[in-house]
Amino acid sequence: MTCAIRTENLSKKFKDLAALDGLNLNVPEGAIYALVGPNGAGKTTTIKILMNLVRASSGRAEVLGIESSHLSRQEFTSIGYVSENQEMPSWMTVEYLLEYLKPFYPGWDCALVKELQRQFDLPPRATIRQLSRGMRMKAALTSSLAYRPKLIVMDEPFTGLDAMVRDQLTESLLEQAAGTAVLISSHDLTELESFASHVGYLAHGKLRFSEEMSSLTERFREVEVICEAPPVLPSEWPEAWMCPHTSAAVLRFIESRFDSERTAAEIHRRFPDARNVSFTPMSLRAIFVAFAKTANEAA
Amino acid sequence: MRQVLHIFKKDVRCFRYEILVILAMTALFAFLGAHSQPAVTQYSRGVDELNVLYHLFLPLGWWYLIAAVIHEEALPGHQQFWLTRPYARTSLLGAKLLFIVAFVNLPVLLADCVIISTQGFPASSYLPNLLCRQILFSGLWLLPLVALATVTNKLRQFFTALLTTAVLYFILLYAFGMGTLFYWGRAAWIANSLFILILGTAALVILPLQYAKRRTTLGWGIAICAVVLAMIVPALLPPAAVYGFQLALSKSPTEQSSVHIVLDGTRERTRTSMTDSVRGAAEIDVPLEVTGVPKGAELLSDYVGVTMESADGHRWQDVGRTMLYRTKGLYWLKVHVRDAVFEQQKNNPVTLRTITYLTLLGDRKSSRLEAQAKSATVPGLGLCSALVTRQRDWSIICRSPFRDSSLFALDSFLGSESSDDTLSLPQGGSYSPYLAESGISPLVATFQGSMTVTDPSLKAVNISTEAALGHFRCDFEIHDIHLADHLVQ
Repeated sequence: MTCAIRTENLSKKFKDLAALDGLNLNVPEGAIYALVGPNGAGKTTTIKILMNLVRASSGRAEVLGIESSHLSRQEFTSIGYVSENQEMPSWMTVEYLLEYLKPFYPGWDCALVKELQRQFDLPPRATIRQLSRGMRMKAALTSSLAYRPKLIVMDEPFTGLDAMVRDQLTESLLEQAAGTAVLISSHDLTELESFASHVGYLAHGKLRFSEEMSSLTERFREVEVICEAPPVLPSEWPEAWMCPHTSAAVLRFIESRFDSERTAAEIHRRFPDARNVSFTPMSLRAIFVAFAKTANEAA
Repeated sequence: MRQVLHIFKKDVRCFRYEILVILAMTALFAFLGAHSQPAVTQYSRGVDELNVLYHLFLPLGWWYLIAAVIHEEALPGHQQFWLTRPYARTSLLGAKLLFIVAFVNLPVLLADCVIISTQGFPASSYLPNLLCRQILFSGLWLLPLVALATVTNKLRQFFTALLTTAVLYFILLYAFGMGTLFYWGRAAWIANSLFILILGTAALVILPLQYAKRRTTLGWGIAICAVVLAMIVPALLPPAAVYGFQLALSKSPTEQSSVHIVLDGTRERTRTSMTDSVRGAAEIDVPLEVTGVPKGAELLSDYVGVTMESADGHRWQDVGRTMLYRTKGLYWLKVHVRDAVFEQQKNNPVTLRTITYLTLLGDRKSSRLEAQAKSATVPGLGLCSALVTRQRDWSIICRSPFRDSSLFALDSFLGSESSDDTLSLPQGGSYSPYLAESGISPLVATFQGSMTVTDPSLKAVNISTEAALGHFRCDFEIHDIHLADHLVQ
């Protein structure tokens, strides 16, 4: 599998604080990879290292086959970067920003720019500082899609945006960046679930899982077991069963390696008086919360 | 090159109003310089007040523009949009330098041409000086500030760093006696060169480092070290070593074997004509007999350092400002001794040992300057004029473009003998090898004098110039003198 992004044992320390701790991340070409995790997990640090904005303490990071610390003018003609914290040249009008950036990119597509401006309803004469947050993100995305990059990296692009703007951004991204590898970090899990092909969960600087979205949602189930009597949790509780919770005769937990037959058999083996077992598919948000809870409990 | 011009055009568009303000300020600078009387120098000798004020605001304007244009694509930080765009760093640096050349250097160059032309010096005759001035001006006034701008990302941070440096400089200068830097006199160019060299070298290291690697912490480290070194290195150099270096560079070293300096024991104790008091120090004038000076020449001391030793082996140094001077045809050594030491040793026999760097002056030429007449050219001094105010007060000024004169100059009234009641030391005589000074104004006052005359019929003044015939070291010792016998009352 060819990867647009690959990291090996990537670590970053800020004095004594380890922001990243041996991160191994692979973003396949053409994938839309959602990097999720709680605040302070290391998502933004990862992206900044990938974009050569900060230096890693150790390990390797490759972007489009090039060591990220060696990314140069040539590589940046194929990389789009959009971030909520990016400082845009606030004095420029939207029109001038796009006009200014054009000569930097051999693959600049004027027709696409016009199309995106129309889609986003961007006011050409407004300066960047006059734009709302949502409009600024649209301008940033337009200026990053205009040259049809091979890779788009987005750091929390949806934060603080209303649902309509988020939809517009997502739609344009999917429409115009088909085949482009996208790495996107976001808290907006509902949004990501609708279009991400891969997902990675980062916590305390480590990647807890990284897989295709379909396989993730396939292997996670919310399990409800109704027993004859209030169940007693066995001392040897399976690691894959997360967040166990009992209420009267009902046991609830999250199965992270769901296989209908195997999981059912295991439940009946551990709880022989189980009279009803139900499995409910989980949203990405519910999976994320379960992981966060487990991590907090472990901590 | 295409990207350089592209970024440059963007910056021009971004800072069009600031550029207009700076150009207007530079035009005003040219106007003030062209019409200022007397001329201005970096040493603020007789500078008119508006020009002084202006010499503060104009650099602030340049620095604002430099910081703003560098900060447009700031280097420290990781949120700037340009960092993830296909900028060639060399093009970015090139665009910024082009901007500075276009809107600071070039206007200053034009202003210089206007100022010197209006003041009577055709610019076409001074092309090498103009070039030298641009190099020194950039090395001192621009390049270090460009480097500072690359390690900051906000104007507030930039100006705070600048203000802190200025405050630190003045604290060091005055609180720790580093003002001695200004007493280097004709060798001050060495201190200035060191200052520019240290800051310029640091800037030339920081600029590529920041644009290629964005190592801001390292950049700050280099900048701080450079500022501290630039402040203390010139001040810590022993003057004797500086003049030794100056002598080594001199194009006209001379054999000192013919010149001998000894105590003039025959001269009666007298009240000397020149006083130069130093707070907390006793002023001693020792009569000297100087032989072997060629006819028509005279000696001028560049530097004299004195070590004194009493019979009991106690040793001490002079407190500075020691000089060898001539009045009424007689030579004197003026030494300052701390009051406490003087009180302790004044009646003891003392040995004086000197390190003496001297210059032999000669080839005297005189020029007559009519009062209130148009400026007249005095060879080597530039254009000179004599103004008489309130009937008796004469003010004489000579000005020249770009650099101080290498000649030594004295004024005296025609028809009257030099009045030795008020001794005047020759002015000028810069040893700088540069074709320009590093100040803001292109005009330098090469000679300034003022005097009050008793004879209102005097209508002209004589300006004499002498050239340095040779430089040499001529140390001497004086044994068994009593300091109390030579105290200036």
